[in-house]
Amino acid sequence: MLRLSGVRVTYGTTAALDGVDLEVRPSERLAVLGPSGSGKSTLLRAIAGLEPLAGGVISWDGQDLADVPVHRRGFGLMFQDYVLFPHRDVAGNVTFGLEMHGVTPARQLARVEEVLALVGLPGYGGRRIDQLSGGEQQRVALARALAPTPRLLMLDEPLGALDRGLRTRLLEELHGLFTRLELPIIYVTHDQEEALAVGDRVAVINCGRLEAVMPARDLWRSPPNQFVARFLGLNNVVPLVPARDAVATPWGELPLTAAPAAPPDAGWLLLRPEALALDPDGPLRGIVAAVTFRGETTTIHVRPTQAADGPLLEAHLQSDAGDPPVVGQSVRLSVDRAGVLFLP
Amino acid sequence: MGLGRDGFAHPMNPLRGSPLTLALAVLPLAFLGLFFVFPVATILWRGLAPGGVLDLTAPLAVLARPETLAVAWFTLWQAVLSTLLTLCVGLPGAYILARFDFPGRRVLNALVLVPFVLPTVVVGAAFLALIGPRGLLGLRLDHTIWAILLAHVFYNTAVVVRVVGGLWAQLDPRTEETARVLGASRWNAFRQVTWPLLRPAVLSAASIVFLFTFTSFGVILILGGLGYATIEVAVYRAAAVLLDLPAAATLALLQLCFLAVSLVVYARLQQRAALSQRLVAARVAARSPRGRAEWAFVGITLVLLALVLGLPLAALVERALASPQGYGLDNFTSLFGQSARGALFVPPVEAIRNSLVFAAIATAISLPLGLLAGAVITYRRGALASAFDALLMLPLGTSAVIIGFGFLVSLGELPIDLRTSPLLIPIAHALVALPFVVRACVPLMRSIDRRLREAAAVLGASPGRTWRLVDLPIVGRAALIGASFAFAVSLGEFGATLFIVRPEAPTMPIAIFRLLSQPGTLAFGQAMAMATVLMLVTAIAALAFDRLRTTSVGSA
Repeated sequence: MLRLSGVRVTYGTTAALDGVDLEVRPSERLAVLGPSGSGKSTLLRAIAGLEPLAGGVISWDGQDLADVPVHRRGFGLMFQDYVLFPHRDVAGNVTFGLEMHGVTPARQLARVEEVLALVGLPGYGGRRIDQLSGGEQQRVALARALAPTPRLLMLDEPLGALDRGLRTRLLEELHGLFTRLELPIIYVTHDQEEALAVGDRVAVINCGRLEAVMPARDLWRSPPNQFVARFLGLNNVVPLVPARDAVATPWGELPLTAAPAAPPDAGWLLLRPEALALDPDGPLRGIVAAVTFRGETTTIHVRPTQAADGPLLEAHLQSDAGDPPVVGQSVRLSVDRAGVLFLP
Repeated sequence: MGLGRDGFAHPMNPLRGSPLTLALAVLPLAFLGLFFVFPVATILWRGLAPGGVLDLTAPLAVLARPETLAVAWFTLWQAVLSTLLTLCVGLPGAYILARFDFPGRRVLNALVLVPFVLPTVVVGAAFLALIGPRGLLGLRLDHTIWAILLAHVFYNTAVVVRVVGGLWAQLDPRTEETARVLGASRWNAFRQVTWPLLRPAVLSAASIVFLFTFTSFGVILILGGLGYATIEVAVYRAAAVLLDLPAAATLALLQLCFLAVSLVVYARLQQRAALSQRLVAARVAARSPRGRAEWAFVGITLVLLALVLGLPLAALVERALASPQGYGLDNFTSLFGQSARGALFVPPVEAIRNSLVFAAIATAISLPLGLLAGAVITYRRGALASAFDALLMLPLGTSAVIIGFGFLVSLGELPIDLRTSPLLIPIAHALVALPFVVRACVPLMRSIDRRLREAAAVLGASPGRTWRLVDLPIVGRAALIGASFAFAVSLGEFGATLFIVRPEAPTMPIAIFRLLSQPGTLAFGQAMAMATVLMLVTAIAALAFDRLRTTSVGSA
């Protein structure tokens, strides 16, 4: 089991990782989600042993890894743009780790076929690297990382360099592959959909600090703070202004009867966009600023009636619930109780 | 102003593909024909057909002489050994400059280039200042193979650092990191991943160093004494000292054969080296050294580079400032007086004036020719253009001594005897400089993005105006770089000049050489002072055009 406690990595005077505590359990898939520059790649590099620690401990099954050099850690790491060895063919890339571990040529050959089949590229051994498509390169890189049977697999934005259609397909494939692998996996991404789809648990990282580590569903259902909520794409976050028997919002007062609990004295108010619905008697009112048809749902953005530059309220309406409003129209909305959250 | 009214359907460069470009090639071709092909052909003719018909008895007799074999063997093994030693110093230097960010890195990167651009005579003088009979260290290593090898390493380290380091800096460091994560130790990761990717650049640098040391002339002449001679030096001695023209011609022929073989091998290596790989911006790859081992490696390499590259230059300046009266500018002021022991027929300062005048004329000749040739190479494609390109590079592959020797034997046969013309030296310099000018111009001319011209045309510029607004600023910059190259090459040219110089009009390198071969403190001091002046001028020119070359030009 991998454990990080108080891990710090610095570049010059800036801290890329600042006191990270994290545990990765056996066979767990942990997604690390964060914006670019948040330190998520540094986290993988530190675990792999490519970045020296300025503080803290990384241990495996209780053994401190500080004195274990990169090549003896037995971890697999896949970079975003794969970094295949250009002077070796596909088989040469996949066998590299096996050669380094002194595996006999006969067993190497068998293992190459095995992992190439696993990633869906059987018989590709003799191909040259520059003959591969982006998706094929990604699979070869994965096969190369898996070949020496690492005790931990780390992937840095594995789908980042691919176009959208391919991403969706490969994401499903990876998901299936990961469930079969039975080894702990750390999957770094900046895409919340990917993180939620892949991770048993999701760690949200920002400015070198972990903001949250929790099961994917819990994270989505109740984000622990306003940064995480915004990063998950929940944009209806406004400062909490308690009023008598109500909470004041830019779109009008929300009676406390509409809230699941009494609000704290300070913090943030989150209104989940899918919990909002058009309602002629609803407490929230405003003028429609934009309407975007998205298929199953239609997104509308509503600005406060009084303040033209006020925050936009985003609501996801069921498309089959009737004709959506038009831009410029005054609307009233109500909110489902479960969709009102108070965040620190 | 619309495109139609100008009669041009396409926003192309007006020069591209038109018969005009062939006309542009006429002047450079005539120049090369008269001053390169004709002299070299004359040498071959004299050597192979001394009586007017092909007769190989004399050349074969020269080749069979034991001296000839000894010279060829020495030329070969000193070049191999020099190349290996240069790699030993240059590769660690390339590594630390490519991979590590440390204080003074940029300065070092620029300074490494200085020895490479120094005239060979200055290199010889610097090593005499360090390890000669009046040298700083008090050792006497001149007239030994060590002086020659050290000078070759000094001179050529820049080639390895720049060629290998240039690629190394752009190799994605994560390739090596991936190997490490997959279980490779530091050494294995280097051997299995970095080295195979680097090998083409190492081979390329090694071939260039081999070529330079194989044709070494000034360094051997000054540091080797009478005991050592490369083929190049043997040609000079046979022609200018022993007056044995058939022997000189045969040796020159031998040299040309060796050069042809090595150029073919080099081209083969270059072809095989083509391997597509992802390169990264150099700045991404460099980082601060970490831990005691890395700092120690960087420190030791820096000390090594400082000793090999810095010490001779420091010794040169120190010796130039030292005189029997103590430190001061005595040696420099003495350049305005008479030369020591009549080594020159004129005050040494005259040599500085001559060199500047010759360099100005040589630049004026080779720059227009180089720009014309550059335009032809840029705007025309196909076998003819490639052949033209190759022909232009030939003077670079041929040695300067052969060019000088060729001038000596051939130009008397022309209707006007150019051998007494004051233009002769600038012409020789222009010929030696021409390949440099072309190579400096072509990349910039090629860098002009076709889409820039198209954009200008779409915005309503006529072809002529497009050329003036888009091409001209970039060509102007190419001209500036080409001119500084030509000027620097002319200032330092030694091998060809030695054949054709008139005693009363020496250039700086010739003056230094003559002063160095005289005994006495004054001659030595004057040589050191003049070598220092020449070093400063060429180093400043080189650093200036290194900056010009590397600051970006807009589009790629």
